[in-house]
Amino acid sequence: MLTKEYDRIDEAVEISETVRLHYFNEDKFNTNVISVVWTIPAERDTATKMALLSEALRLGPGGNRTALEERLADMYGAVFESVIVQKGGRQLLALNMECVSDEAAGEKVMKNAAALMKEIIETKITETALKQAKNRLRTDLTLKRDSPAAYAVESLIDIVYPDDGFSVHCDGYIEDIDSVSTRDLNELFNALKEYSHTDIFISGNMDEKAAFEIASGFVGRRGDIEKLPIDEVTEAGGCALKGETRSIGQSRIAIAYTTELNAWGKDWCIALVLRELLCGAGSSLLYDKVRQDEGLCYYIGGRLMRFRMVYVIDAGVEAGSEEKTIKLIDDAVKSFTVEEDRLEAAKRAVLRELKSKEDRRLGIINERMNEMLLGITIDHDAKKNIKSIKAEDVAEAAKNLCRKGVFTLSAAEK
Amino acid sequence: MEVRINCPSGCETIHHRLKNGAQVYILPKERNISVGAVVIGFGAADTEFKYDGRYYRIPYGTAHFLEHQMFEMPTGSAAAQFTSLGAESNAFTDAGKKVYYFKTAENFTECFRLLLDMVKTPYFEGGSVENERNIIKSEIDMYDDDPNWKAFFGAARQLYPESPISCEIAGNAESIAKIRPDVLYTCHEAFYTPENMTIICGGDVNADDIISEAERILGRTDKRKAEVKCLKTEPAGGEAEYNMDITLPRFCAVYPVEPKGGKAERIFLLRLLADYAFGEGSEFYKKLSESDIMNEPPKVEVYEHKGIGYFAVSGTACDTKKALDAVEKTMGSIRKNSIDERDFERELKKLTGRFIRFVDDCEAAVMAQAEFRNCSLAQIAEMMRKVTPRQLESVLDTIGEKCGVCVVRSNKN
Repeated sequence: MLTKEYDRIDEAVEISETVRLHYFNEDKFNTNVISVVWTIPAERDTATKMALLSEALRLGPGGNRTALEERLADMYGAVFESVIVQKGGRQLLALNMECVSDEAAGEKVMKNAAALMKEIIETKITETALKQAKNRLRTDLTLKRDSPAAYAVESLIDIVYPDDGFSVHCDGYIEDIDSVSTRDLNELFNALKEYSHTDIFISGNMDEKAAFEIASGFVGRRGDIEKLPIDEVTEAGGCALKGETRSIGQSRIAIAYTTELNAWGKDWCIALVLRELLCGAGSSLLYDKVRQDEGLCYYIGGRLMRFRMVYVIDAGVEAGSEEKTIKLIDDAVKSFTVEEDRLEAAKRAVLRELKSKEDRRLGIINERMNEMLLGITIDHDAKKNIKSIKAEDVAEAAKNLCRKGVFTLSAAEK
Repeated sequence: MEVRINCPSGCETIHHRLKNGAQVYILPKERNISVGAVVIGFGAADTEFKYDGRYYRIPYGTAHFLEHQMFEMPTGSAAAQFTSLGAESNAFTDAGKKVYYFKTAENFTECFRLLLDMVKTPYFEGGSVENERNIIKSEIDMYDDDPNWKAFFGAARQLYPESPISCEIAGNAESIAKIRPDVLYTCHEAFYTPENMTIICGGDVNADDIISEAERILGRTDKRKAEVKCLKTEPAGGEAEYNMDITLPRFCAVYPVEPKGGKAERIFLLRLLADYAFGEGSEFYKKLSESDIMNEPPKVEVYEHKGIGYFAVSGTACDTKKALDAVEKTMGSIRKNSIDERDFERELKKLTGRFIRFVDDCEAAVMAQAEFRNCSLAQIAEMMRKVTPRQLESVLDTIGEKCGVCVVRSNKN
């Protein structure tokens, strides 16, 4: 990791069995962050309950968001979020508190933030909180359909990984909402606190002892820990194809390509460089071919989903040009060659992106979480790895890209 | 040069006005990534102007088209050149301005030179204008599918039916068909003058280098920028409705704002008012969420340009009539009743903290400075600490009573 430039302490300390404190002593920001993360396998049975639990915890202690807002406002607008994150076949519940530092505020904020976090962790979910959580989740899940872009990508994952935890909708299923009770949520929450893998991140300008004390305050009685099973990848055979039509102005296409590269070390860096060359913003193979040369779209982009090492390329195109665009993208990928000047530019872009993560507290935390879940225990020198990448490394990786799925959301004829 | 450092809020700013009239703001921060930006005072709403003795009326979407086109240079794509230097580049246009910027971990000075060269050099030749037209049409289609976008502009058109501030930034298919290279060249000449530019750099950057490069590249000129027609107009008010293939209805209510007094202070106070009246801790949201009408607090946007402004409240609601009635009632109530001091203190603290957190991010700090070109972030931070409840009450006088409303419904019901 790019840790050499900064004089930073980044250690994981085991507070209790599988409860780890990750402490970052950093004084270049005006904020502090506390994050508590529980990790379980992504399963259809628990997905909606976890999502509802997240919504209920968002309301704060006693399920009263108005009261929570007042307390956060008094702490100089501290931000508290409860989010569900999916990483491959794992579902994570993260409670994040970000507050202005005591120096920037001119008063003690961090102590109050830690106390509030502890209250939230110890809270019991009430009927009122559950009702609000259900309403919010129902609305969010309904609204998801209104973004054609997000809908296309989610649908693509569904068809490429139908039997994989990766296609479990960790933000929940509308049809499951009604049957969840407060007892279900409280049992789930207690189980998370007692048995699940727990990571506590504290990033700020404070000493390690203070961070340890704060983190220890969040941990209660622990039982027999449930080992996290290996996150197995299960793809559908061949190339999955699906299309839908909707009354929208612009069609959306989403295409999945898998790679044989590993999600760590030099392989990971090669994968990132390939992503940049294929579909980076501003200047890349697909940007040039599909947008600039053919004028077929305003947006074409791609992301690399690390926990499945799958590239998802998506674009918004004029109705009637879906097939043409898909063919153009496919042909471009198959005939991909690496130009030296573009390779150097792509390497720099990847390096820049990795460095930019260190400019955000939550960026550093997310990176640390990824490493842990991937079982990365060796410090990879990303800068050195990126520098050493040659054109043939990327060309080989591109040659082994395999198209695994295409989803088309076509704009209905007007 | 004005230097403000050791600000507790982290809003250290260096401000300098170049001999050619351009303003420079430097926001020193210890970060891996530095950001360089040029703000041009020419936005989507500036469709009528006087320049060099002539009066011009340009098609809607011209400013946005120009933004896209500026990335083409005689030496090739500026975006590709930024990439080869290790930077990411982008730009955006709103009603009153354009911002061109880059982010980089290396070669900052080279990128900065490229940015200034790019904004200085108009190049609208060959088929690139035609090609860009297709791309922009695709962008227009993308926004057309966004119900929130539709609700906002639908409401703005009801409030200010004849004003360009109510037109979509990118224009529409008919208006962009009329944009030709000669229009683009004229707009570049009229608006891309140093006195109409604000240069903003944030990160681990050298102020002296930035200032000397800017002086050298932009040079000196006697050219004066165009005079844009004042947009001040009587608000009309009215309601509109659209149907789309969506799941839940959206609404937007836009109130007119009369720009009076200092802009930075007014915008800050209106933002404070927005949180006070419609934030997650407000009575408005508490009532609507308890009755299951809304599950997310509304978004409030505050904007002004050339004598015209708006305060827009928008959101998703299962019963848009009740939501809009509640918005109207809340606006009435805050006009009639005095601001609770305790609530005010709380909101002020919240907004101050949010500002501190926001400007901790280099890119966000640069964009915040782009919003307030005549006032440094350090000055804004100082101003925030001195605001009083009475000032908040007086800013209410700048919000008019007429309202433009738009509802976007699901065509499945």
